[in-house]
Amino acid sequence: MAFQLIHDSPVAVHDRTNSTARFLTPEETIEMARIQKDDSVIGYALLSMDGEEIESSGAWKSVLGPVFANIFDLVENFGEEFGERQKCPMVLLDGKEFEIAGVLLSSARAIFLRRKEKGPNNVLRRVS
Amino acid sequence: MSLEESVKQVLRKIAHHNRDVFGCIATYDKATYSTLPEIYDLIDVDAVIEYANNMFVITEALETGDEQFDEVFLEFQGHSFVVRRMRIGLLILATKPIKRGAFRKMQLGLNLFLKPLERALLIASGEDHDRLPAETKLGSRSLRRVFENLV
Repeated sequence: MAFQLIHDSPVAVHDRTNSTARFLTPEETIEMARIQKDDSVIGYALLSMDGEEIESSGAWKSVLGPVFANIFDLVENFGEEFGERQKCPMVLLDGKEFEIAGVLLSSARAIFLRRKEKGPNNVLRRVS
Repeated sequence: MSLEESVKQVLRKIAHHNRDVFGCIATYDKATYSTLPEIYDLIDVDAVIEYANNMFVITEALETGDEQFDEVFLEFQGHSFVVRRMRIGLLILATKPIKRGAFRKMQLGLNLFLKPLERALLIASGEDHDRLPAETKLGSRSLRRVFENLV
């Protein structure tokens, strides 16, 4: 099996006073806060490059992090087969009513779960 | 035309219809078809298919129902990829580096070819094409229930 779910792994507990500051630039912090306030975004997780959950909120709070830590590994293995040795800048899981985007930031990865909107407004455009 | 050739013909139509696409792989029932014969020398196709399948397996941990997330778009520096889980089989498109907006446009064109591709895959595998599973909306109902419990 090329992957292993890590539900049983201990999730690192970070001191929230310095947790996000270590991983995000000021600009990214502002952008993340703005996106989380968007009504269509119903889940959010911030992961370190090692796949540890730094913070999360909303739907599937405890699930988004572990699931995406594994998906990023798979995606990068997938890309490597095609000669892509860099980190994957963006993964989009597209569903009928919802979409989940994983976005590469300077030192972390952000994951957003959002309800799809009809029309031109699309919060994920700002980070993709 | 051989049965295998009929699958490849649909794949070639997909590539022809979407100018950003430079390679397609379709797989069903342990058989793999591609528009690029040399791809088997360049990449480990079995590994790629396993990684692609496992992406969908992992999304099932989100408990949104099996049918909810059936398409993955991956953006890399040199390529982008679209991985589509069909009612039967899997379709992988390798494209030029494209952004999300171009992917959205591509989706519209891609949907036109999915049913013919599924049918060709079934016939090539020797199965009755009437056996295509019915579409279900269970996944989205299940996700809606999760969301309703949150608010």
